[in-house]
Formats: sequence, structure tokens, C-alpha cells
Amino acid sequence: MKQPWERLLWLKQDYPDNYTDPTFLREVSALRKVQSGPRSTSSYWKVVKDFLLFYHRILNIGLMYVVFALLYLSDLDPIFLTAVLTLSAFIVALARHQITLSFKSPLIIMFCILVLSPVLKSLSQTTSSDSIWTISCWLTALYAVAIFLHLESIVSTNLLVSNVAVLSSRLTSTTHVFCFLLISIELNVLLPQIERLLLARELNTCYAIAFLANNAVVYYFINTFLGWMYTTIIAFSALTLIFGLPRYFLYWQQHYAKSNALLSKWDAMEPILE
Amino acid sequence: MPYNVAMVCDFFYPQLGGVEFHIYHLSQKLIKLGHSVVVITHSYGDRTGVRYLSNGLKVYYVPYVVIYRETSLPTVFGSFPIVRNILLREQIQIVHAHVSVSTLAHESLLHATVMGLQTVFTDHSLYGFDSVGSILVNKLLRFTLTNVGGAICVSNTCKENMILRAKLEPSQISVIPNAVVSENFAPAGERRSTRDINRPITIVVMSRLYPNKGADLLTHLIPKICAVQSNVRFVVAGDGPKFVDFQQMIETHRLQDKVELLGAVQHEKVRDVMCLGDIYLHASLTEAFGTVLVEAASCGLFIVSTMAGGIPEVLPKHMTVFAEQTSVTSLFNATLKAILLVQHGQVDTSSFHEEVADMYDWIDVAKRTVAVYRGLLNQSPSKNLSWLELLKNFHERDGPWARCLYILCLLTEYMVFLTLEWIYPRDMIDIAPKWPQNKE
Amino acid sequence: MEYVFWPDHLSTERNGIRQVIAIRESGTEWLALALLTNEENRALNCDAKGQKLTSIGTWDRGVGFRSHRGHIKMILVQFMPPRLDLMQFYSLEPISLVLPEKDRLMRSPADRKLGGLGIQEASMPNFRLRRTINLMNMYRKHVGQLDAYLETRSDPGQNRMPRLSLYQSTRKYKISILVRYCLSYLVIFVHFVASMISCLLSKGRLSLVNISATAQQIDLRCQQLCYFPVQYFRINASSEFNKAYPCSENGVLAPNKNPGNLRDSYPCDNYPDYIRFYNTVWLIVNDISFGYSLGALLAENRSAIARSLHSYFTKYLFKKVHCFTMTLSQNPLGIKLNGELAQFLSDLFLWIIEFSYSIYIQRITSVSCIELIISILSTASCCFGVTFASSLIVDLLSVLTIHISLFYYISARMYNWQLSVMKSLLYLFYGKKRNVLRNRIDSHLFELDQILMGTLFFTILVFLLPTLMIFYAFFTVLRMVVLLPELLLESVMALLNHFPLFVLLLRLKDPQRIPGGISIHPIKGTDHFRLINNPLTVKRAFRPYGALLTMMVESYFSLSTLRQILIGRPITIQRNRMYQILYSALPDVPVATEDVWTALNNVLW
Repeated sequence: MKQPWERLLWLKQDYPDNYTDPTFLREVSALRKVQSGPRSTSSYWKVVKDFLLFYHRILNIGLMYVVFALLYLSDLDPIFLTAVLTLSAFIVALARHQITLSFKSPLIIMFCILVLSPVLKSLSQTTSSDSIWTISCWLTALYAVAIFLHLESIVSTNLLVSNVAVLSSRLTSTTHVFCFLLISIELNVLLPQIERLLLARELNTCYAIAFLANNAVVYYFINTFLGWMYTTIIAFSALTLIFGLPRYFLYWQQHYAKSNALLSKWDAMEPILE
Repeated sequence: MPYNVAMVCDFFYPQLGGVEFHIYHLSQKLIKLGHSVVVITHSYGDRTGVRYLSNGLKVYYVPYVVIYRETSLPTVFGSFPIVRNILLREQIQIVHAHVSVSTLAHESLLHATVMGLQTVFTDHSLYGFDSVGSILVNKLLRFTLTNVGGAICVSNTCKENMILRAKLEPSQISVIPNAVVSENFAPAGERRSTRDINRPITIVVMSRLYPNKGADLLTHLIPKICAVQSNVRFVVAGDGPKFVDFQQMIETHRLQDKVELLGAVQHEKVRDVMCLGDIYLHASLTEAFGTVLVEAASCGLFIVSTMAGGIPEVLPKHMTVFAEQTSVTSLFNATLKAILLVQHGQVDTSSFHEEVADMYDWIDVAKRTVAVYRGLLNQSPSKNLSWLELLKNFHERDGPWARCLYILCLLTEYMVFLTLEWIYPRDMIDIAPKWPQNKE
Repeated sequence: MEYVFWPDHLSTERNGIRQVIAIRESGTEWLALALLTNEENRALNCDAKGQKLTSIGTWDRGVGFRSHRGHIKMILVQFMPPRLDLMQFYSLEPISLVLPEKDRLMRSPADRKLGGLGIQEASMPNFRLRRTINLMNMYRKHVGQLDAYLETRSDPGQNRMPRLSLYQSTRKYKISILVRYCLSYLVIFVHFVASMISCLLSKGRLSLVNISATAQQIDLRCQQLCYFPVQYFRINASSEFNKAYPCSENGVLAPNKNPGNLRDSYPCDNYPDYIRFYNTVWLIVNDISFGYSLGALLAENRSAIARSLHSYFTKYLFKKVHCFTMTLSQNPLGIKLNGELAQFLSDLFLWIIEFSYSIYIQRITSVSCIELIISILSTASCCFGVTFASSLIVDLLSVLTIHISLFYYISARMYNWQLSVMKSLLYLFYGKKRNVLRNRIDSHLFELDQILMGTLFFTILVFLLPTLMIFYAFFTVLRMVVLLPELLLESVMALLNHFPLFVLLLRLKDPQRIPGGISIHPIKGTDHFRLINNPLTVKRAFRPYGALLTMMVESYFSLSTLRQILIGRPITIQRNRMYQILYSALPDVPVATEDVWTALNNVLW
């Protein structure tokens, strides 16, 4: 009776080197099936949720444009709006101590922005307005892509600030620039953080309210500035993004995506650092 | 019956590394067994032309353009004339190619099949399936290994990987592990069977400090262990992009007197560094075989390791403590366990050297490799592949597009072959004299 | 197997069978000296003095050489005996036209690496061929000794080689004491003044030599003056002087340094010095004669040159630069720059232009001033040579273009500063920071506010970069254009100052005097060989120029220069580096006056 084959290299076994044990074969054929068969897919609603989060970030960008439009087109006093937003940001931050911003650093940032706003305003002054809109549009698109791909937050922040710098040159005064920059940062850096916090603590109602409010504000202004035609088109494409694209994503994942838990057996393992 | 073997690989001396040593030691032992071996590699700097290493191991340094990390420029057909010339000149029967990222190896496999020679391929590492690089390498492998006679993998895990990547029959693949020259890895002189419980335990880490070698795990693990066990010293040998992280780790946690960073260690000093320690810690995240584990065990060190790749197959249970996951906690527990075992003298490492010397021996590797060669050369002549047969194999190989490309490649290759036979016929090529065998 | 080095003229001996007398010192091959009759040979043998001399065979015109030592094969190597009195000699290495210690400057980087591995000329063994060649060079001396010996032994009237003396009889001029005193004091005085001036020009943190071409030229002449006495002694002084002060490796008169060095083995240590000395003298004479013609030319066409120069200078140094700088502030080529910064920079530069124009450019470039300058130049050219005049022109040009250099340095500095700030911000984005203390890149976890600030600054810098880049690029091009004529003039100066004129003429006249190694060829139909002197190649004579050219290409037209320009490091003329190579015939440190004084005393008294 032969000793059963063991998957060990150090053991001198009475089998030829190219011997393939039935157990080994079984494992391999299981793996082969995995390799050729359709991939397991994530659940539809999970994907929808991911897309919803992404859509929410885009809404935040929309908010920034709304503020810009208010400052650029109508003679809104920026200081009032900024004060309200900043105060509420502080209150929220005081209420939730988890936010790592202390008092000192926001003040430093604010003063810094205050000092730099004349420079920001003049950075692209000589460029014509059409070019500015185009550049801003591209920067926004890149920003969205950066968020979607979960690039390092630094890339998206850079794109955001560049966008603000480009847009600032069209504003009338330094005060406007200062307020616009501050609001943009609050809306696109702090607000998403708070929202993420809400989700993480499972305060879903709060989150839903924030989401709906966000929607309402953006669509209201779109309607005011562009008319109902555009509103419909944008709303429709948003719905497609949230509910249509996940379907396609699942289809793609099923047929083309290569990643699989079993097949990634030979990739370098993920270090768990804790 | 002695065979004429050509080892083909982009990586060879003067570069030093696992593959290079494998080829060198295997060739030496094959020569010792009475076979004739030449090595074909690309030129390194001004090391061009034909050189002899010890025992008449002939090395052809072919002048090729190196593109990336000592890999030569892929030309597919460009290397045919010179490879054919060398193979005919040396009367080669078996072309043995190494490493799946070596273009020279792939090209010569193709040339050898078209010339009607037997081919063997050895793979030394594991590849995933979802990075761009590995997908490319896998496609290439699938193409060049279509008509390969046999493949050798260094571990069973590697074999699994190979089966899936290259779509080979399991029976075509032999598992032959690496070995160590155990005389070069003798344990330190004094035996520590009765150890003083107050003497500090030294843990040796020896790897290139790259992310995939688990450098991040180590930088988190070392401070944790130092915090718990005051009686532990670390010796970290190796260099790499994560070296600075180790320096920073030492500075942040003030471990200057507990952790020693040696930097890169020359190959001949490895044994001396190993012998400084009691425990060898291996945090690698991917590994086909893990020669360094065998070396450490041969030096009489107790092993703590992750279970990545083929590591679990390499050493018996009484020499190792495994961490189930590649997590800091898991490694931490495993290391603590090992420290306690060593501290209380519950492991006897004095017999490790002899055991390892018995398990892994190059002459054994060479004999098993020769068995593979013999199997190929003795197989029935019906299996000898005519070029139509080759074409058929390629046709059955892969998807519709790849199939066309493969066949096109083969046809071109065959045309190049015929042209070469015509303008530079076989009988015009001088036969190289063989190095005299010293018969013992 | 042994070799016999066989002088050509011995083969013409036709009077029957003769004994071949040869000499061999330890570690050399045989050197055939003369053919003697049997009687002479016997006379030689019975004397103890002829112990190094042996008869090794016989020579018969019909039969050729026949060895006495039948068991050993002897092979003839024919050669033409060199005439040391005409400064002919054989040498394994090419004769060195540069000072030995400067030799390393000429080497290519690859050679230098070899030098680092210890494969150096000086450490090469005195192997057999080298010693044999030394013996060959001394051929006529040995023949003379043999002749002198035989003369005392036997009666005259035999057919024999004419007697030759090796060294010229030392010239002892019978000069009156007064003249000697005056001469020596004059030499010492000149030497002292010259070394002082050279010292003044090149010492100090901001050495003038680096800044001004004129200072460079004066320094060169002073150093040459300082070195003249030393060279002159070496060439002409008595053998005692040579013994006390052998041609030292370091160019300083250090007694008996480096005994047993390779160079000592030359029978003719001072020949390279001779060549260098006369080369310098010739070049100076040449320079002054060119200077006369240039001076005359300048003086004749003074007013015409002045007028055209005036218009050119005003146009290109002021008007055009002014105009371009104005353009830069107004979106040049349609590139949208940052208005404020461009305005600021162009205002700054315009102010500098106007200031420098009104302060000095206007005055210097006025017609009358240029005429004055030209007359000064022509005088200088006549008195001190054309190189002096051209060095003055170089300096004048650099003074006139100070504002352009200034723009260049300012813009390069700003550009470089901006790039380095952006680089460190990029590090910040990657979670890294530079650790200045340990000189490495550390990883570091930055807070949100730090990153935000970094982002703000980074954005601003990105938007400002094109503006600075345009300014920087423009002024770099301008600076290059200004540098070009300066570099050209300096190259002409270098050619005039260091041309190997004498060597080339020697090569035409008598290639044996400048050996560049030897070659040995087989003579057809026999088993004899012929040893031939290879004269120095022209390429080797121009070696310092080759090195200079490589260096110039390296520092002005290479990839690394481009990189330097791209990262905003200012590129400058590195005169000292350039001249280090060209000063290859001069020691680094001028010889101390005291040494010259003692040497003078030794020689004259």
C-alpha cells in the first residue's frame, strides 16, 4: 500500500515528479471552472447605492456652481451667505467632536484664503470668458472622474481649487473671491465629510434629508437659471445614472471583469495593518 | 547517455539572484552527472561573447538590447539566426528555458520547437490574473508553451498557477523544488541546546524591502513585539524602497538599540547574518518557493512565516510557526509563540541543518531534471512534432483572434527557419568541441 | 631565445670576419656595439674593465651574424642608433608635452576609472624592453667608452667608429661678475613681480581670474615668466644642476624627489622642457607679431569701426532688448500670461535696462568713447599681443551686457525657486516630506488643513508658472546669444596661447625628436626584425585641445546642460576649469622666488 500523496516538497514521496493527485486535480478543475465560467456579481441595490453616493458628490459640485451663478449673475451679498454657512459648519463641527478640525486650523486657512484671494482673482484675468468656462468645465469633469475612481483625495482637492481659481477671475471683487473659495471648500470638502459621517453612524434619515435638500436647492436654481427644459433633461440623466448605469455595470462585471477571490490567490496578499 | 542541454534565460551571472543561482547550480550538477550544458543569456556591459565558468560551463553572452530590468528587447524572430547557430554548434538536444518574463527564453522556446528540438520550461514565480503586466505575460506564455515538451515548477502552488496560466496538461508539469548548497549555510559553531533564559533572542529578517515582501507588515510588527518582549533584538538585512520606512520606524519608536538595519548584504555574507539569530521572520505576501526559508532553517534558525504561495509546502511542521493571515496580529501571535518556544528551549534547532541537507540537494534536483529530459527524449517518435502538427496545436490553443495571430507567427517563424537553412546551411556551421569530462 | 639589438651601420662593415662586441646590463637584451678584429677582442678580454662587454658572435658580410652561443637562438633587431646630441631618442611612451601631474586632466572618464583601479603609468614595472631601450639610447656613449678604452690600448689608425660624446660640453660663459650680478638681480626682480601679480589675480574668494579674461591673460603671461628661469636652467644648466634638481614631478624644484621614477629613466629628461620652453617663446613672438598687424588695422579704421559699433550697440543692447521686454508683458505670441506678474517682471527689467543704459552703456557706446577704446586696444595689441587685445574685448563685452546677465540670473533664480517649491508641495501631496537633517524623503501623515493650504499654494504656482517660464526662456536665449561671441573669442585666445606650434614644426623637421612610441616589424625574407620610431601623432599633440573641446561640449551642449537649464540652474563660463586644461605646460603653483635665487646662485657661481 502506497503512502497517500501529500502536497509537500520536503517529503521524499514515492511518486514521479509529474504525478498529479486526484485531490490536486479536483482543486485545479474547480479553479478552471472559476476561470472560464461567469463571474459572481454584486447585488443590484448595492451598486445603486454606490452610484447614489457618487451622484451626491456631483450634486455638491452643482451647489458650488449655484453659488457661483448667484455671485456672478445676481448682486447677492456674499458675506451673509458665507457667514451663515461657516457658522453652521462650526456648529456641526462642535456638535460632532469627531471631526478632526480644531479651531486653530480653520482660522489659519481662512486668513490664508483672505490673503491669497487677490492673487487668485488675478491669476487668469487675461484669459477670455469663453476659455474660462471651457477650462472650468473640463476641470469639473476631471474632478468627477477623480471622485469616481477614488483617486487620492489630494488630486480631487487640487482640481477643485484650480476650478475655483479659474472661476474667481470672473468675479467682481476680492470679497467675492474670498467668499466663493470659502464656500466651495465648505461645500465640497467639509459637507461630503459630514455626509459620510452620517452614513457611517447609520443616521440614514439625516442623510436622506441632506440629500433631498441638496437636490431641491440644485434643481430649484437650475430651473431658475436655465428653465424647465434643462431641468428635465438633467433630472432624467441623473435618474439614468442612478438606476440605469448599475445594470450596465453588472453586465460588464459579469462578462468582462477578471477579479475573483479564488483567482486572486496568486496575487500578492493584501497586508492587514490594523 | 549524456545529453546536450542549453539553459536559456535573460538572467544570469554577473547578476545575482535566485534564478541565477538556480541555473548555475543546476548546470554544475548536470555537468557533474556527465551531461554537457551551455547557458545562453544576453550580454551584461562589456561581458559579451563566450565565457567559461568553473567545470567548463560555457556561457554565451549574446549582445542584445536590454530594455527593462535586464530583460532584452523582444524581437520574436530577430534572435533566430544566432540562437540557431548556437544550438547547432553545440549539438543541443534539449532547450531548457527559465523565467516567464525573460523574452530570450520565450523566443528560444519557439525557435527550438521549429527546429525540432525538445523543450523544457521552468517557472520560478507566481503571477496573478488581473494586472496588465501579468495578463500580457500569461498570453505570451500560452503562446510559447503551446508545443513545449515539459514544464518544471518549483512548488505545487506554482504548478496550479502554471496550469491555469498556460493551459497545460497537469501531467506535463513536474514539481522539482529549488535546493540549497547546505555547506554554505552551516549553523553557527556553538550549540544552544541549553539556553540561558536571559540571553536576548535575535530575530533575523532578510528580504528586499519591497511592499510585496511584506515590508509594511514588518514596520508595524517590529514595534509591537519590542513593546511586549523586552528581551528581543531584530536584525534587518536588505535594501529597497521601504528602507526609509524602517529607519523612520526605528526613530519614531526609539528602537535604535533593539533593531539593527544592515542594508544590502552580499550573497556570501548571508550565512553570517543568518547565524546572528535564533528566529527567522518571513513576512512575504507572495512566494513561489522561498529559498531563503530553507537557507535560514539550514543555518539552524526557527522559522516564523506567512502562508503565502508555496511556503507551506517547503518545510516540515517542527521547524516553522505559521501566521494564518497576512495580518499584523496574526504574525504577532506567531512570532510571540516562536519566541516563547525558543526561550523555553522547546525547539531543538541543532538537527535542522542535517535534516535540510537531506531534504534539498542540488544533485537530487539535477537527477530529477534529467528524468524529465529522459522522458522527453525517449517518448515514442510519433509524438515528434512535424510543423503541421505544431500548426494544429496552435490552432486549438486559444480564442479566434489569438489563433490567427499564433498561426501567422508560426508561419513567419517557419519561413525564417527555411531561409536560414538555405542561406546558412547546417553543414556550414562548425561543431564546438566539448569540454573534456573528468571521469571519476 | 635572445634578442640582439643591431645598429644599422654595423651591417655595412665589409672587412672580413669580425667579432661582434655586445653589451648587456642586468635585465636587458644584448646591444651590439662594434665589430672588432680578433686582436682587439683579445685585448679587450684580458682586461677586467671590459667585463660587461662580451663577444657574442661573428659577423661576416656574406654570411651575416653567427652566434657563439649555439644553443641559444639569437634574433637580430635592427635599429638606427639615436643621436642624443641632436635630441633624438627612442621611448616606449609618447613624449609628454604636458607636465606629468597634469596628465590626468587629459584623460577621458573611462581612463580615469582605470587609473582609480591602480593601473597607472607610474606603477608599471621596468620591464625588459624598457631597459633595453634605455640602453639603446645610450649606444653612442658606450661606443665612445669602448673607443676610448681601445685607443689607450692599441695603436691608432684602425678602421673604427668616430668618437662621439654624449653630453654637450657644458657652456660656461665667461661673463664679467658685474653683468652676472645685474642679470641675476634682474631675473629675480622680474620673477618676484610676476609671481606677486599672478598671486594677486588668482587668490582670494572672488579671484579676478575667474571673472575677467584680461586678468586671465595677465596671469598666464606672469606664470609663464615665472616658469622661464626654471625651464631655462633645466635645458641649459650644468649636470650638477640636473643632479641637485632633477626634473621634478611636481614642477617645483624639490631636490631628489621621486627617485627611481619612470621618468628618470629618460636619458634626456629635459627634452620635453626644451620643447615646452621654445613653444612658449615662439607663441609669444607670434602673438606680438599678430598684435602689430591687428593694432595697425584697428588704428587705421578707427572712426569707421567706432561709428558702426555705436549704432549696433545702441540698437541691440538697448532698443531691441527694451522692445522685447515690452512685448513680453503683453501676451506674447497670443499666450495668455498672468497680467500682473508679467507687468511686474517687465517693469523690473525695463527699469534695469534704462538705468544701466543711462549710467554706463550710453557713455561707453558713444562714438568718441569707442574711438578711445579702439586706440587703447590697438596700443595694447601692439605692445602685448593680439591675445591681450581680444581679452580686453571679451571683458568689455561682458561689461556691456551686464544687464542681460542680470535678467538671466534673476529669472533663473525665480524659476528655480518656484520649481523647488512645487516639488516640495508635490511631496506633500504624496504624504512625503524632505528630511533635511538626514537628507532623505520621509513619509508623513499630513492634516487636512495642511493639505488644503498646500493645494492653494500649488494651484497659484501652477497658474504663475507659464509666465515665469516665458521670461526665463527668453532671457536664456538672449544670454546664450551674448555668450556665443565671448566663447568664440576665448577659443581664439586659447588657440593663440597654447598652439603646439613648435611640436608640429619639429615633427616636420625631425620626427625622431618627438618619439610617440616604437613599433617592431619583421624584415621580409629573414628572421630579423626592425625597430622603428613612431613619431608623435598630431592628435596627441593636440590632446589638450581635444580635452578642452570635450569639456566645452559637456558643459554647454550636452543633455546635462539642458537639464540644468530646465531646472533653472544658471550656467556660467567656468574659466578656471577651462584653463586648468590649457595650463598643462605650467605648474599649478608658480615656483617660489627663493628657489630660483638659490638655483641662480648654484648655476652662476
